[in-house]
Amino acid sequence: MSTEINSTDMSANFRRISILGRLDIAGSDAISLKFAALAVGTGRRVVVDLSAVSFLASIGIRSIISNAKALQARGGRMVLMVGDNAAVSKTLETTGVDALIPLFFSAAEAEAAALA
Amino acid sequence: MNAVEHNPIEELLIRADVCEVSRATAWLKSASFERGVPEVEINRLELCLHEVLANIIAHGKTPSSSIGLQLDISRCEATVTVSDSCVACNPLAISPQPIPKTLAEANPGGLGVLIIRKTSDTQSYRYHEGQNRFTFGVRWKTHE
Repeated sequence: MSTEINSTDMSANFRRISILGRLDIAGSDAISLKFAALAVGTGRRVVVDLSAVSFLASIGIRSIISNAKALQARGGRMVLMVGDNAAVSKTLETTGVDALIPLFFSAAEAEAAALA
Repeated sequence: MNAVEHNPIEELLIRADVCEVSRATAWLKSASFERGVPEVEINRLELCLHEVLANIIAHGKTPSSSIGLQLDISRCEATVTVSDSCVACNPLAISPQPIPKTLAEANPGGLGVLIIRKTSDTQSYRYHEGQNRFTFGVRWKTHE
């Protein structure tokens, strides 16, 4: 299964990034450049939708953290949205990422937090 | 008990190459599913195997090295043993990195060992005759 990344600009400075498929070694490598390009932006607010991620490994988490740090350093903010994806939320909680990057189960909550 | 020293039900040999990781995880999922391992436990095994292989390939790779995989399944436990002839490395001896308080302090790497430790129920390591042998396992309850 291939890994895809798409984005929707909700406003000039607010973007939703959706990742679909596996964030394993191959999948993370396949989207890493595009993910970084989409996430970057001074003061940008970003919701990363992981609800359709079927597998999340540490290399995928590394990519998420790196991009979240880069965005924060430019005055932006990233939040994560997992929907009802229990496997992904479990991995994020296991690694403590949920304490570093806000994690939400609904799109509405994630968008509100990103814009707050 | 080290189950893999008895009769592993499935074995696979792969090259220590990132291109082989997906073949290894597909083998593990298929073999576990065919033997009735619950899906949620298969997912845990897959995640751990991915992290173990990623560590070996990233940190212990030599050009001609191969990696052996053994799967053993009992009534309510599945274990995977990963063997390689790379530099001796006990993942259980690696201290987890301190938990960062903020995103700015966070180190993006080093999460693989943490995932293995927290996702599997059992882990063991030994170095014998030039081989690292790392075993991890998951257990589940039966309703019988």
